[in-house]
This record gives sequence, C-alpha cells and structure tokens, in this order.
Amino acid sequence: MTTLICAGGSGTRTLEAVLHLCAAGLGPDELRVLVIDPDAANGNGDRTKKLLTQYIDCNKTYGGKMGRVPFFRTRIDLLETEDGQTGLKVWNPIGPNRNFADILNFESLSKQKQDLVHLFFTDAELTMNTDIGFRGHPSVGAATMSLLSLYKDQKPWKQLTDKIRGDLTESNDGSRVVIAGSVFGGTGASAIHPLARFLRAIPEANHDRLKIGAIALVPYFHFRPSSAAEGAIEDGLAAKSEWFALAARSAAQFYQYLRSNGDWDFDSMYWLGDDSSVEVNYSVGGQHQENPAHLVDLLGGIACLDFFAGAPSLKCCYYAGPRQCNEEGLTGVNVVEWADLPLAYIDRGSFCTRLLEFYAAGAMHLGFLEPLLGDQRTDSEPFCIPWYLDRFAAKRDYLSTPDNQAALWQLSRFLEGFHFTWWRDILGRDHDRVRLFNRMALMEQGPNGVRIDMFRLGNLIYPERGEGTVADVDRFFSSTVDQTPNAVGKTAPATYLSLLGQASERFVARKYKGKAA
Amino acid sequence: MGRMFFWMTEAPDQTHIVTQTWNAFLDSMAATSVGLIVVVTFLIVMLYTGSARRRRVHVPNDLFAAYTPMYWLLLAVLAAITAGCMCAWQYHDLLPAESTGQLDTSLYIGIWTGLWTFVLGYLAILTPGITPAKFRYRPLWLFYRNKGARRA
Repeated sequence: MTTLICAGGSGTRTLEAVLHLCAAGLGPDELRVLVIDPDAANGNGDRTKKLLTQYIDCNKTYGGKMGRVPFFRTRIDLLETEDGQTGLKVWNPIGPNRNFADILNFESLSKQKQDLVHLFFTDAELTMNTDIGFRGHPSVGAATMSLLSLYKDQKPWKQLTDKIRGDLTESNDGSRVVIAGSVFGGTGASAIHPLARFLRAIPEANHDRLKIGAIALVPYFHFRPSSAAEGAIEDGLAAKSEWFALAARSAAQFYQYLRSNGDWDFDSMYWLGDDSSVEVNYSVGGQHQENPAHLVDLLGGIACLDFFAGAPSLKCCYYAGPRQCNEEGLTGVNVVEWADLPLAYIDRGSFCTRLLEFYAAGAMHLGFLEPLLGDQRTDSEPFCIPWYLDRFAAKRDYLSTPDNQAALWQLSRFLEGFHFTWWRDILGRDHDRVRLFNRMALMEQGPNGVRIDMFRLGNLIYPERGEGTVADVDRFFSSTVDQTPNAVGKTAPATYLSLLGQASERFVARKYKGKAA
Repeated sequence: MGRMFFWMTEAPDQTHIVTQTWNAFLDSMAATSVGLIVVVTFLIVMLYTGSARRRRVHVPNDLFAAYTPMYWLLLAVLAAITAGCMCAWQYHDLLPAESTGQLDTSLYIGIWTGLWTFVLGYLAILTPGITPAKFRYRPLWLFYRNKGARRA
C-alpha cells in the first residue's frame, strides 16, 4: 500500500502531478493521500482539490472497469479529519485562529523557559498569523511538527497509523510512504524530517517493511514583491525569494548531517529543482498564491511513482540534472527531453508510451469522438459507425442517454479543464525548454480549458514539424474500428474508454514507433 | 452456351429465322454477354475498392456523408447498354434483314447483362477485405439501417 503526504504548497503540486500520472494509468493500485498545510485556502490547494474531485469521479466511473486499459485505475484513499472535511483532507498543524505561542502555551511558561524560547524565535514569529502558512519560517514549522506525536490518537494520524500497521502485517508489499515538499519554504521544509521520525515510530513489528521516501524540492521559482496581485498585502514576515538558495543550502547541510551521524530515516530521497528559475506573481499566501504548474512538479510526481513502484531501499539520495543546451538563445538554460526524465526503477519506454497513449486518447475524445457522440445521427444511423453499432446501439445501450453523457462529460472535463491545461503550463510558453510534448499542438479553448489541435494528432511529441494534417484522425478512427472486439467494459462509458484506450495504443505503436522513449 | 437465355430458345420471328441461325446468334450473344459481365464486374470491384480505400474520415460528418463508392455499381447500366447495342448490331448482321424482334431481343439481353453485372458486382463488394472495416456496414445499409437505430 502506498501513501503520499504532501507538505505545503509545493507538496500539493506534487500531488497534482501524481494525479495526472495516475489518470494515465501509471500509478499504484491504491494511493492514500494527506496534505499538511496551515494555509488551507491557498490557490494551489484549491486547484488540486478540484482536480482530485474530478479524478475520483472518473475513477468511480472508469477505474478498474476497462479490462487491461489502466486509465484512472488508481483508487484514492482520503483519510478522515477531526473536523469532518470532505474531499481532499488538509491537516493544519496549528489549527485555526491560533499562533505558535498558543501551541507552546507560551504565556504559561516560566520566565526562564520563555527566555529559552526567545533564543530561537522572535516575538513576531511567536505571534504571526499562520492561517496562510509558515511563510518561509521553517523553524516555526519544525517546532510545531515536532509535536506531531500529541495528535497520534486523533484523526487523521490515528487512522493513518492503523492503516500502515495493517499494511505491514497484511500486505505482501509492505507499506511505502512518500513525503513531498519544498526545503526552501515554510511548511515543506519544516515537515519532512519530523514526519519521517513520526512514521518510523509507527511499526510495532516488521519495521523493515515500511519504506519512506522524500521528495525534496529545491528552488525553481522566484518572485518580486512589486508583482503583488491586487488585494495581496506585503508582509514583513513573508518569505523572500532571495533567501531560497540559502534555505535550500541549510536544508541540504542538515540532511547531510543526519546521514553522517546515522540518523537517516529515509530509504530514498529525491532532490529536484531547476536553476532556470521562473518568475511567479508575488503572494504572501492564501487564495492569491496560485502558481502555474512547473516541470519540477512533474519530476516530483515521477519520483513518487518510481518509489511506489518498488525502487530498492538504498538509503541514498537521488539527483537528476539536466543537459545544458548550446542552441542559440538557450545557452545556460536547462533543456529537458524524454530521456532526461528521472526514472531509476520504472521502465522508461513503457512509462513514456503510456503517457503518450493517454494524451492521444484524450485528444481524439475531445476533438472527434465527443462531437460525434453528441450528433443525433449517431443514434439514428448507427450503422455508419461500426463499433458504435456493434458494442452499443445493437444492445440498445446508447452513449447519448443522460447517465452516459454525464459520465463522458466527466472525462471531457478532466481532460480539457485539468489535464491539457496542466500540460500547457508544464510545457511552458517561452523557448523550447521542455521538449516532451509539442506545445504547439495545444489550443486554448477559452474558459473551458485546453484541447489538442487535430491537425497535429500525428505530431504530439516535440518537435513541431509544421506539417499539420488531419489524415491521422482517419488512422486513429480506423484503429477504433479494428479494436472493437477487444474493448472490455462493465458499463457503456467504460467500454467506450476501453475501446479508445486500446485504439490509442495501436495508433501510438504505428504512428510514433517508440519515439516517446 | 446460348441456353442461358432459356426464355428465348425459340426465335421471335420463326417465319424468317432458321433455328440453326438463331442458336448461333444466341451463342454469340451469350459469349459477348458473359465477357461484358466479367469485365465490367471486375472494373466495378477495382474502382469500388480504390474509391473506398481512398475515402477518409477527418471530421464526424464524413461518417454520415453519402457513400459514393457504391455508385460504381452503376457501371452495370453501361454493361446493359453495351450488351443491348451489340445485340442489335449482331441481330442485324447475323439474321435476315426482314426479321422482326430486334428491339425486344436487345432489351432482354441488355437488361439480363446489366442485372447480372449488378448482382455479381454487389456480391463481390461484400467479399470480406474489399470494403474497409470502418465502412463495413455501408454497402448493407438496407439491412442495417434500422438495426439499433433510435430516432427522436
């Protein structure tokens, strides 16, 4: 059984990446998810909650119901919290309307102990508003998180502890837990180590069967206070991006110290970052803090899945570095291609191919099949579409019924509103840094999201060849007809997506011939 | 071979046409007719196959557009006209000038040739592998148009 604990905003974005990869069928069978963030209202968290809700809807409709097509198969286990939240659970280590001084019960401490506290924390830190996170003060966060054991009998920690113990005794594969967060911010930097120590204390037996991995994100963005969004308030305690490098260095020194002294709780630690730092809008926290998806999020998600897939416990750190590009205009810029994705355990070829198959299937669904299934003639002349007659209309199981249309709409919304939008952000708007998918194939569709240009169905992978043709739509459609007998589904929508998935597999094998790997 | 025109074993104008001459005429027309059927059927299949395989689906509307490859079956009309004209010509050449029944005989043989060309051409189109899978029900639309259909 696998568990992902996301600390802070950057950790939450790693969850976002994991969900997108799980949608493509690259995730484990089941994934337990928990977010730790005092800033529960931050924009990134809000976006991830919506994504998670949409993913879970798709998982319920399609996951595990399509035979060997793995899309949306990962079942998400959301733990419960004391306050009875629904959806993605966000645990606040401090609690609403409290500050660090309240946690320490500072006013009740003796004068001597208060002086001791003042050695480590300023008055401003003791009384700062933590409703929008620890704001780049990991010392406050770490001290708060070190009190985690006080909550071990409360939800979600009691539930998590019981489940992990159950995994260790009942599951063949034991339990794998990944903690994801930045080491240069507030919550992530303060939570990774205390969490690992807490988790190591859980097993009463089978200690070796608990594997703990960490995704440590080092600086990959920066901001200037002058770019503050309207309504954001500049705060003297707020994080400053010029401190990020120093904070990351301090974190690295800390973890190196732990390794050197045999106090290493991690089976694997993945250090990920990007020194081609992207500028984001300044925000002290809250709903205004919503940064677009970044390549490092994808790398973090991949590292999570690599660990979940069974990467051996080497008690080591993994580093991934880019190859420098010497092309004109790109000197000093990190360029990332398929071969650069950090995969230590998962087979690279099948991983990349699966991503492409899901991408192509999504493109075909939005650009061709969705309009086709919405056409009245599909039901009145089903003989014009062989697979529709054979698998649906002949059995009077039409995809145009309200229930089936609602299921298909869930898929469309996920793809257009989340998946392709996310890839648009990952692939970037400037330069050709991220050379995975062809960003020219993505088309903005206004507020609804992003779709794929059907003229580039055969040019989904970088580079752009400028030879757009709609002939590949015919090839893909022919693949759907050829795969009709192989489509397996417990419901009509699942049968449809199974057919689409298998057709995509055939189309990618013929059209791309392993180019993604 | 002329016996394939079983309903014309007797000459239409027995006053002027000798049985031996009539049988020779029927044999000649049978050979011509069979030759036309084979050639035109082959032509229909080749043209249909090329046309169907060149047909592409690029937008959803392409699936519901008129299935024009079937129009090559209309070459059977050409076969019928050709057979009828050749029959009239042979009738004039081989049989006495005062003989009657030229028009009727030409019509019968023309229609017979055209029908067989159409039927054999249609059956050949239905041979597995001729029609691309994505259009496999289009040649049989008469049989499938109501299958699974749901109309508002």
